[in-house]
Amino acid sequence: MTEQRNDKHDAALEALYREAGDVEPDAGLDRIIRARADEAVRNGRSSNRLPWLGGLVTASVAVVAIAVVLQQTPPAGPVPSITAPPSEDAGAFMAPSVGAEARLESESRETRPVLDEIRKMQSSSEAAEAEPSPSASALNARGRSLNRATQAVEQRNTRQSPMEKSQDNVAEKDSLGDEQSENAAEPARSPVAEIAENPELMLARIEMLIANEEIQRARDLLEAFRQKYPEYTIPKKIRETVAPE
Amino acid sequence: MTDPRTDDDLMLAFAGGAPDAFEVLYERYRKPLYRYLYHAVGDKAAADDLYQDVWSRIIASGEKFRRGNGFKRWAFRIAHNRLVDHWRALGRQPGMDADALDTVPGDGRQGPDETLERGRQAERLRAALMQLPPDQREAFLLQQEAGLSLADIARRENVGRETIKSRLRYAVGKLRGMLEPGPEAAGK
Repeated sequence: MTEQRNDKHDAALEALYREAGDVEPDAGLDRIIRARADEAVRNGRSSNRLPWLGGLVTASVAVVAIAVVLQQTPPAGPVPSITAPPSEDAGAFMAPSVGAEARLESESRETRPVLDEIRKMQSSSEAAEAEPSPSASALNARGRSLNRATQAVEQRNTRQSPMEKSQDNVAEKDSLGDEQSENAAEPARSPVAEIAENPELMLARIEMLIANEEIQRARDLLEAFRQKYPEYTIPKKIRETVAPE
Repeated sequence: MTDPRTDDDLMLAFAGGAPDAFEVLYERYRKPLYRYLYHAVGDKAAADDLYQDVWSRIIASGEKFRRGNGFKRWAFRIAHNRLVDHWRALGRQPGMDADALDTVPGDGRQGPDETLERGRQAERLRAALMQLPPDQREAFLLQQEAGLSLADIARRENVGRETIKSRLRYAVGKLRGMLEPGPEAAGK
């Protein structure tokens, strides 16, 4: 009896709850939630449309970055300090470049004797022009070509700006004993080096030394020539003249 | 015409990118979820905030939903967890707001306007629900709004089935006593 009454009351309570407790969200709230659902659907579609696109883009960027890094040449040396004030001494522009001197000093062993001989040849050829002799006149043409090459080297060195000098100094200091760095710092061969690389010019210098009766110097240069060009045929005249004693 | 698809089908369709599926699902659950939250907190502004948050979580978690989860259980679990967070943030026990009683109209007041009377009944119901202990109110609302069985509510609350049965019995009894005049009151 009591249970039936309780069930009846429970049903009435539920009905009361349904009726009195019937509340619902506002229309504005509904719009907000529906808008969020639409937005989620749009975002989900856009993200699911090309799921592999993100990976592809990442891989492409990585490949491009690696290619750029591989394409870059390694730096020739430390970046010269831009804070180092350039020399304001006007004489510094006219004086022989310290960097050029350092570069000349760092020439290869085969080049150095040639350079020395070229410098000596300059004075000797000038003397020869003052007193032309039949034996030396034939060699003066070659001597003048060597002279021009030497002048080109020195002119290039004297034309260097202070900044270039500074770069040369830094590069040369860092490249002492480092052939690879030196080549990187000066990729183009100088005319002196070209002379050393040219056996004909070297032989011409030897012949000039012979003509000037500087046999010992001619012999030293011939030795350097033989080391550099062991397969080269040395003219008979030179062989006989500067043959080892 | 009602959509023949089940709640789970609709939720999966929505997760797959069908907005119309969400529309059907939302129409089915907008009232139950709102009533649950509203009667649980007894405050419209708080209920609105919670309601938005619950639906946002449902939308955001759509991809995690799996067939067999049971959308109703799943959605009300989210709502329940959000309620727990809400009460925890308030730092006080739910349903102990005495202010709610102050708004209860007197039992003897009768108004000619039926709408006004219904409003009063709703207010009395809300106040009565807020007078229930939280566990009893939670059990009552889950049964009424989510339609969960005793076993489901027991699992959710991590208690025995008999415990839930007892909570419901107490809750209904108190509500009945607060909302309906007893024999003594009727005899007076």
